[in-house]
Amino acid sequence: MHELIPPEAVLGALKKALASTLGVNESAIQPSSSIVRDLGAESLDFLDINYQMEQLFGIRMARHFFLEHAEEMFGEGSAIDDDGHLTVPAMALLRERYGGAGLPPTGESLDLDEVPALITVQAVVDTILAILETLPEHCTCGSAAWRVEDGTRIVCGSCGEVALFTSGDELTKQWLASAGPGAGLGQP
Amino acid sequence: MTRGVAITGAGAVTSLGRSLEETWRSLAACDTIAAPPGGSSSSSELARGHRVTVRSAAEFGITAREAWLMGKHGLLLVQVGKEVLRGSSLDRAMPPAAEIAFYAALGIVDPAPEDLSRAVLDSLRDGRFDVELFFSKGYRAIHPLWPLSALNNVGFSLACQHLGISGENGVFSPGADASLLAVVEAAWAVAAGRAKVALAAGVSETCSASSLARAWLCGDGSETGWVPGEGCAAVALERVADAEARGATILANVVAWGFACGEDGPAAIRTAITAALRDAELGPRDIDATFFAGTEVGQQENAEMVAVADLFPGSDRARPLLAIPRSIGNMLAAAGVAGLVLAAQALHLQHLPAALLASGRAVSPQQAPMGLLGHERPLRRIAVVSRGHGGQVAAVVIEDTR
Amino acid sequence: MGMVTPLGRDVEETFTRAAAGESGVRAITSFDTSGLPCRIAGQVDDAWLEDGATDRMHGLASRGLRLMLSAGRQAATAARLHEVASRQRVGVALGSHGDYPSLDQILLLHRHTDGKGRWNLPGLARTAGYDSRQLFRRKPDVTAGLLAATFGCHGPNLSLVSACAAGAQAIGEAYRLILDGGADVMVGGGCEATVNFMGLLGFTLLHALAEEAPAPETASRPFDRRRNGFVLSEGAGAVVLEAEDHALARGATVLGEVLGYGDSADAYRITDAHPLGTGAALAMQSAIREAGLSPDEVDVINAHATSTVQGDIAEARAIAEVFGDRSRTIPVTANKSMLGHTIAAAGAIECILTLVGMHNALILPTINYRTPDPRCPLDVVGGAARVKEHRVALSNSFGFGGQNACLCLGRGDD
Repeated sequence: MHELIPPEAVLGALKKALASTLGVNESAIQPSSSIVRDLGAESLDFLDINYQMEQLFGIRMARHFFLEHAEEMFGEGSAIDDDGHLTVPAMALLRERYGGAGLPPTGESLDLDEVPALITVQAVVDTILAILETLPEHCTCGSAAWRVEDGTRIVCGSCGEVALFTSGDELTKQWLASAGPGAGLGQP
Repeated sequence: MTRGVAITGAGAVTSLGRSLEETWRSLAACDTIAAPPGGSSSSSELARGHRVTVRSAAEFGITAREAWLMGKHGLLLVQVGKEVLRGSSLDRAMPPAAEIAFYAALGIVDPAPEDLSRAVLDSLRDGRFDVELFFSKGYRAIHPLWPLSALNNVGFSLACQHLGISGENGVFSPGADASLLAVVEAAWAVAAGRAKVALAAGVSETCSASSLARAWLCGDGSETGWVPGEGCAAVALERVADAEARGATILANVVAWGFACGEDGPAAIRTAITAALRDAELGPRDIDATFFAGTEVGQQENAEMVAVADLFPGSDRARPLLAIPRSIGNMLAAAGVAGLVLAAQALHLQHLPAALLASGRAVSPQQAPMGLLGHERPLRRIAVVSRGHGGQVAAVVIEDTR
Repeated sequence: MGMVTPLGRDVEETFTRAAAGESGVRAITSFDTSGLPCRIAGQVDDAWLEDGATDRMHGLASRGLRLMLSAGRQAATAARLHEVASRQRVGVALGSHGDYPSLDQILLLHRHTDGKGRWNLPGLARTAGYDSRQLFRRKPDVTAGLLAATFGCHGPNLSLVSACAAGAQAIGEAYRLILDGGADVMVGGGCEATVNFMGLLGFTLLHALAEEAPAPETASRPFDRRRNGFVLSEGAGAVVLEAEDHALARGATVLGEVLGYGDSADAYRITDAHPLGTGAALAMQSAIREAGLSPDEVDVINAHATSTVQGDIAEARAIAEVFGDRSRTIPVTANKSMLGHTIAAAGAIECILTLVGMHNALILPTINYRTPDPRCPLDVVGGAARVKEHRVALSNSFGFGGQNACLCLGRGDD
């Protein structure tokens, strides 16, 4: 899939969208930039950016953060405790998903409110790439001849239909189903 | 009740001008009334309405996304609001945001079909719109912030931000009477000391297929209704004492207000004007001109003509009947304030352009009643009256006190 | 006073069921919601709607109007409104939107435009598809106009369109009109009937609705740590406000008192409330000040509390700013936990419930409050209704975009 849409293309498209939506210079946007802390995004901006990426790449971004999915899959209190802090398993999953940058030392927890600031430009690029990786081998018409339109949209070379990817929410649930128990979720 | 409230700033954007000054110059330059009497508007006018251009959002430091959410109506509020603050010199000495009130009448905001067409196309199955497909997939093609662009109070709130206003406020909708109501609410806020300064504004609908269809269908049974006109008008109000203390120019004072609803056309108009007169302890003779803002007034016997004939018996040459010229179109929620702004300008300049006369016939300056007024007595008081389509009527009397 | 809500056909039924902690939220039945992320709402039983049978209203009777007429009629009857002689001095102020256009209409109009700003009106006319009655349904002032016509109110007539704050603003503006001498009596209130395709779609796009919940009744959870959005509802509420001496002179029954009204604009961001709740605090302080009281004299707060994550936090901060340490001990109730968010009707419905609560020495419960949110350190009346004498209360309504309204209410028996 990387031959079709290289990671640099995804990064470039995201930077362009962030620049115009948040009114910042593209040159000021680094892969490690925190979208909230460094680029000044508010909650509506996430809706806007996600929408733009969905339209560009023909994908469906996740509507819910992985913590909400975890609470739904493994029970209330499994990811977020009564004080609004992430549980030990949730912190482990957070580390796995977002790396260590910006996270407190192992053993300490984070408040739910502090989580959005952890989302970096690279994290969003990785999310988009993960969705694009779910490109089916064949189109519904049977052909395997995918091609790229306008640099970002994958369509079938035979019938012209747009590719159908797994949704961001579905991918998150799949990841949690496999990584969750290992991190300690779902334990009595 | 409202004595002691001064209009210290006025602004407007209409299809005749991008500012009040430009609009006034266009009006003053007309020797004749700018449209044929009675009769239907041309079909090309109907097909488009009278549009205005608004300054670029970037000029006001408004981002592209905010501009989309605010719509033309929100941007017009900012543009005219700034014109008013500048003209009144308030921009050089703005009171704290919490002490500025803002009341506005806003026209209906119609969703733009273009915002939804992708989603609709994505939801077609065998050429027909499929609700299930829309709910499961199609709707995601609609921008998530689109619903906000469809709420007119979001445009208003964003305008408050950009004008530096966070005091008491209200958004009324959608007729010309609501426009004058905004002025009255603003006047009270200032008179009661709840705000140091109050802005009152009115904004029209933005011309679109929906607004044109509405105008056309509201034709009172005939083929042609009104021709919608885009536009915005606003005034700044302060206590007379405050205005004088800071050496501001006072265009006119708001001195009385009256309202009526539920009676038939002429009766409601009579009741509203009479209530206003009683409010300020004035009689019909104290009113020098009546300005009907928001309704087409012409030679035909409409409610305005009947009411005026009853209230002010005698020749209308002594007491001209004024209206917003047809070439501006019907600005609905903006019309009331626009009429007030034009009336205030007339009082301040002691000049009545012939283009404002509603007599419905082409007259030359020599024939116009203003010729009489100019010589016999100065223009002191104008009653501005606006009628909504639900039978609501609002009347405001303004006065030149020099 | 009058109302029709997902919990009842009138004030008494709604209050009784609310006092028992019942929820009016259930699965949407009026249209097919398969595929939508959110499929629950607070709905009014069709049997409780006004008939709308008179000729004048036939075809124009949108659902919102019928809800408003029902609530308005209850209030007008209780107030014996018809007895007031001078109809010029009786007005109407309502928070209402017109109906949203239906998707069919938008599609129809779209077919008759060339996309460059020109429309083919004769073509549109030939299809006969654009229902002219839609014109009236779209206009927000039709409800106020028809209510005035129905009850013979010939005084000032206002339609407020400030979304979630509209109902409270309508009552506030009605109150000011009376104080400023513009009217002796005002019918004030609000209505909302947007539990339909377009209404639900709009809020779904904004990710504002509570989507997941074990059961519909548990989805609306103001101040609870696990809240995740509000529940859309429909309803209407109306009060008859009257100048005190006017009411006493004609022997009207006094059910409560508006002591003060405050409103402000946040001037901060589009949907995010100011993190410090400054605008909301301003509105509350103005209302208290206008009532001639100090924050210490407020007994109960009927919160706006829609059950959104950020909104409830901002309100808690605003309350803390106004009341300081006392903010942790003043009882706070959130009616939306049971009724959902009735948008333009909310301010009116909650004003009435607050007044009835004062008369019955009962503070309504906030249901679904199981895990307190540490970011909202308030004395939320969870579990069951609390029996407590109280005389002064605040009712908050904070709208999208940042318009904030607060009513300071009193028992009216001084």
